[in-house]
Amino acid sequence: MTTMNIAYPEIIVIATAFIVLVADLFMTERSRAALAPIAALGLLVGIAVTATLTPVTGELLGGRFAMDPVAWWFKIVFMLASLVAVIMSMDTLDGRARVRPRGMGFRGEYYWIMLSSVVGMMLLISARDLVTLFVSLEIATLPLMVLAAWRRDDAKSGEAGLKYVILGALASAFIVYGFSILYGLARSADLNEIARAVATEKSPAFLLAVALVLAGTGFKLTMVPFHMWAADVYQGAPTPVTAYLSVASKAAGLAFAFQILFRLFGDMLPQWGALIALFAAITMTLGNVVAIVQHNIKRFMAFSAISQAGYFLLGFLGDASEGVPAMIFYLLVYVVSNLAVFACIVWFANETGKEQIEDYRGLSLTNPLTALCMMIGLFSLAGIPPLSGFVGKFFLFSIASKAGCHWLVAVAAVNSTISLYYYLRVVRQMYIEPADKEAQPPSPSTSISITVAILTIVVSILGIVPTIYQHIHAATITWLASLQ
Amino acid sequence: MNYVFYIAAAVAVFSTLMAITRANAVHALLYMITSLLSSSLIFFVLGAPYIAALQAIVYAGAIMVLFVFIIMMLNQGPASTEQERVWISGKTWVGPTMLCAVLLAELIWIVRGDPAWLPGKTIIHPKDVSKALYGPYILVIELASMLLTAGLVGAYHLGRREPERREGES
Repeated sequence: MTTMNIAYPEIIVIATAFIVLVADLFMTERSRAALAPIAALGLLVGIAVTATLTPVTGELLGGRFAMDPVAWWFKIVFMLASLVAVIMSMDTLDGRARVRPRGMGFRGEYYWIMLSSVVGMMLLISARDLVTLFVSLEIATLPLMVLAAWRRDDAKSGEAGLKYVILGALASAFIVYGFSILYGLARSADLNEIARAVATEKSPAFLLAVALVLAGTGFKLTMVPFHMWAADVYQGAPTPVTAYLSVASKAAGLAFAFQILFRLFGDMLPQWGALIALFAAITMTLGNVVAIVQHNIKRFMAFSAISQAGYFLLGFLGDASEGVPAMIFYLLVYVVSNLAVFACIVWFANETGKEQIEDYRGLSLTNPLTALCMMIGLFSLAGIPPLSGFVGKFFLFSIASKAGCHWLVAVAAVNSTISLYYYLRVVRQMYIEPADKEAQPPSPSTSISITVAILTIVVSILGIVPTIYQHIHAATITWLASLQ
Repeated sequence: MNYVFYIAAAVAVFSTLMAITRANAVHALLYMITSLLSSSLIFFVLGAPYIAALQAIVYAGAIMVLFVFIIMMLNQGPASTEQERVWISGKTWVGPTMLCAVLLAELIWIVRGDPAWLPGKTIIHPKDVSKALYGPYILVIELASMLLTAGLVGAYHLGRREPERREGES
């Protein structure tokens, strides 16, 4: 099928982005509150149109843009993540927050930048040649750098932006250098043709290219030892942006890793099991151990996100027909759980302006429902049954076990226990410590309350309802057949 | 004839190393221009004269001049004028000039010789470049414009002078 409709999701999001940018010029400051609903509506239409795209396989522009069932899932996740991020940003940007951080205005540009990063991510998973892949990766990350530095008066935000730019440029340089070597070896920019050309390649130039590209991929996925940027960027960025970064950049990193590891180096992936297992082990261990000692909740979530990247890597071991659905399912679970927790963090920061873990003491007394939702989100991240996080982790662990990496499963299980300890630190503050008597209790916000409620329900049922996983699994089988 | 390539590549590597190790921004820029010119020569040697010309005009020409202007405009006043005179003293020109002279010598040598030796064998003409850009790579062109717009809006936001618009102001 080569009709235009497989590109509709991207076209809708791009159109929304431009509508937001141009509408901003003609609006008064008061009426700019309509920009967030416009952006959210555009994303909703995008999700709806994507959902109706059947059959979902097809290509455009001589095969340089392709839609497949796995890309379909990634696009849904990207649009959902940014939809929630837009809703989360509304209170802060429209001035409804009790504590309004300085420099969080400029809504037209903010939503435009956020939407353009979504477009980049959506194209990233649909790209079929090196140039498109690289340019869409840049469209996905460059806006994130600007968003991290959005509060220009704030030293921390500026530091976050600068660190992200420098380390992100380094990672991009690695990737583009590796790509140029691959192009030289294969004499083609087409991903599938390169995969065929390098299938038996053993030359040092090829190994150098692989090392460079994998290092860049590791950076995007926050894989240890390429994780250094994450903590400072997450802490310094404005809180709604941190929420978006933690899910969207991780999802984009996974999409990029899919393109690299399955499409480009698919034939070699089975031989790299030991290396991937090693990276997975050190990533989850370092993320978890360092998260224990954190006091700032955003920094804490950054290390939690690093350790989650380690769990994702388990899916690359063993058979792809089980690994791919497990990773996509866990991505969905991770995005929903993390957004549920972050929605609470954004709301709390809006109401109190505080972001230390100790500041959450007594939240269960002042806002019992929010505390409950946050606890469910944290428990899902820790992997406690019957929440969806448990099911997701179970699939990933069983893949590592089937691949024969029993030591890795042991490491992962120990790490899950460690993570339970530090997630419980937040829960302990909320439920056991007494509330601060003098402080004014935070009041609920409509948009965030609804978001948190929906996300929490999804977190709770995603692991119990088998339909979603079945759909992902069926999609993967079609996708794997098309890779051959 | 690969020597031409290797000499140009060596100049590129050396001038890039010098560019990133100079403490003074203007000196670094002079070396960076040299580096860009040598990659332009490499494109020329590989049989892509159009890309080589673009590289020289756009990078070594427009973008670098912009850089030099910005750096010089950042330090205004009589003290910095004096400093600029020290920066652009004859001694700082020696290194980049010698490297550029090597490149120029190579270029003259190539142009005077028979073009049939070019390693790329086929010459990529402007028409081939345009056909590739607006044929199979049309999506990348559109994406690049999207990337530039995003970068432009981001740079505009980060660079604007007033701290924040006041409420009620359009």
